[in-house]
Amino acid sequence: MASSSARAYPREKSLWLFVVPSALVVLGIQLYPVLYAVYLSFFDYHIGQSQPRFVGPDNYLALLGQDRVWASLRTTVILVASSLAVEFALGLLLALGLYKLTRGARLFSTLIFVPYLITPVVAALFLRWIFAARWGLADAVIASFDIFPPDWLGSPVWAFVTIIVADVWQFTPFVMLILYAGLQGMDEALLEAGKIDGASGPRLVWHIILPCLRPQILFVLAIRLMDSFRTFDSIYVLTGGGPGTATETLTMYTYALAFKQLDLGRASTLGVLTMLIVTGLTLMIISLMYRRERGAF
Amino acid sequence: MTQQRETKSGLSRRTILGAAGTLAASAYGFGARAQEMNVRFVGERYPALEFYVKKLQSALPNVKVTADLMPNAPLKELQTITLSSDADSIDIMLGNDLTIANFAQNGWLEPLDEYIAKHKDEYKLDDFAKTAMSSASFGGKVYGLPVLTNTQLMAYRQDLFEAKGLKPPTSFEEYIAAAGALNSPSVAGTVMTLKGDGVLNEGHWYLNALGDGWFDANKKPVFNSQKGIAAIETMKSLTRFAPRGYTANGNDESTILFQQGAAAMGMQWLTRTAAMDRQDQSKVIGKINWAPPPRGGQVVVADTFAISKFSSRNKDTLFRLLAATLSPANQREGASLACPTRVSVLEDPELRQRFRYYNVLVPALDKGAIFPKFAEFKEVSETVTRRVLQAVTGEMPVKEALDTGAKEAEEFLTRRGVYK
Repeated sequence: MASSSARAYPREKSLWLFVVPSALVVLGIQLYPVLYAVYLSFFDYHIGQSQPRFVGPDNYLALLGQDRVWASLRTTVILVASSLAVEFALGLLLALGLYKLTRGARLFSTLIFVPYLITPVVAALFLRWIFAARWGLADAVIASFDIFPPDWLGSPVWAFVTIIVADVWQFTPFVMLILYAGLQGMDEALLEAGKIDGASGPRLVWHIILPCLRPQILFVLAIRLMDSFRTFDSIYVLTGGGPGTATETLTMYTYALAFKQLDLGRASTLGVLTMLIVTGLTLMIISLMYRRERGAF
Repeated sequence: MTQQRETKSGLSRRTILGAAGTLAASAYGFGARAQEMNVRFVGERYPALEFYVKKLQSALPNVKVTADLMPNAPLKELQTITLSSDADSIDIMLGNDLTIANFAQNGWLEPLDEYIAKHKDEYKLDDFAKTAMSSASFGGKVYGLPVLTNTQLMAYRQDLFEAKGLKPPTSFEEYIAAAGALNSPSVAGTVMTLKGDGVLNEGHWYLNALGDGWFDANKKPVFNSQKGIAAIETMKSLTRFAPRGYTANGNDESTILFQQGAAAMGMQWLTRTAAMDRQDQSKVIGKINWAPPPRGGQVVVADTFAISKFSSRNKDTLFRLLAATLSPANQREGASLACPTRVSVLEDPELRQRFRYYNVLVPALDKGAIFPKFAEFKEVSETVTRRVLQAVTGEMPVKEALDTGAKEAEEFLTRRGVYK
């Protein structure tokens, strides 16, 4: 036994060499920019300035004291929470529907998945032309029924709704696919046992299916939370942050700081703050879902 | 044998001569290819610039120009990112008053004074209008050659105006009255273009026509003066006649509103006049006319060809490329798409007769106003226009929004070291 262990050890050691290229890529293109952003966040630095000036935590204090940051955070949270709730509910319903289907599930899942394959900015441009006032497709269809269409992009409430619709249309298929994959791996004996005990559809979903899907739910919520927080393309194309500042999110403000005000120090600071918020929220979801099973992750 | 030797000898000689010829031809070809210069141009996509890009690509022999055209916002981002990293991937570019000032202050553009002096006679460079050249200059140096002068004109539906017995407005009172009279569920009384930089351009008109402008000579905010507040109140009052979703409308959307017959009047860039009569896009061919904006003060800019300081190409050749592209003949040919920058073309009687907007162009340019000429204006305008937008959409009372914007602008400019 001792000799076989000794033979295995050098082999395992040599395998680490295969990790080096991936590790270098991760360090180079993921970790380095994050660390550089953290570094820049402590400097007063705008594009064109010859030398960055160290200001310590001033950028953080200045941004946390701005109404604009809190307003854009509030907008972001409302958009993320609404999109996530609708996407999860719709995605679960679609996944359950596909799970129930005896024929054509693969075809339906492929068709439903199509919006997810479209580049977000292209999808947003497509929706822009649908929701354009007076000459857009949505207006034309609604007006043909002699109904005056709503102000899709010009009213704060409708602009919110339009952005949520855009997000839901594009990302519900992703939620559906992950949950459907989870359902495929579920032990059907549990469902049978539940039915024998007299559980109806909603009770089966609540007491058996959802607990079984917990890892997939956690995964999908965490990924969508991170993605939704970073959403930029659809808001930039559809509303540009308007009407007024009604749909200005943290990423829109970060973009304005970096590319309009050319203030890289503060843009980095806001990027770091956003990263901290998303990390905190993701950890919160993990702890909520696994509060009774510490150490599960 | 002798014959054989001769034949062998002859073939051999022919082969040698052939090989030498091939080598010479190859060497010539290689030399010609070696002299060929590849140049990358980046600019905004609009019909007039597409015309000038074609001229750019055929202006000089042995210079191959690759052009990347895109909307305004990504263009600025690309230019800023490339130039701030000292990269030589852009050789020549399109700029305007704001970007030229900003890029020149950062040391990203090649000063052209030396090349202008050298090639003045060959390319008739004294012919460029002084106002256009001033747009291409910053801090006493010239950084570009002006391609076109652009301004906003008041576009209006002549048929709708005549049907209501209205005349093109010459005051804001008349403008508001006409917008109200022509507004209907299917036709907006006035377009308003407030997405992105649109609010800067539209706000510029109100603040210069009715207010005191954006900043004074000391770069202190004046947009929140009493007159400035009244100007933005007027702008806000016109939103009731604007199309739904006007805050999400950029230049393209406003142009489409006109083309689809869904707008009665409003500010449009001069470079978009031709789009109103495009057979494949417009439903209102021949029905749109133009007038100088009431009280003037609308934005006047010059789009400019500039050379990157970081280009590794021969700068003299790049300059000659730009100068040849903007020849009087090319400007005359492109006059249907944009306002030329050469005096000889502007004063051409034939052109004045051919293009109907030329009649209003000269008075419009005369009463227009350029953006404040300091490098940080482009950046500080982001915070200011955000407040203007909040005021116009009713998110915040006008006075409070403008006062807040003024405070933020002063803080911003203080941080940038503008105030000594």
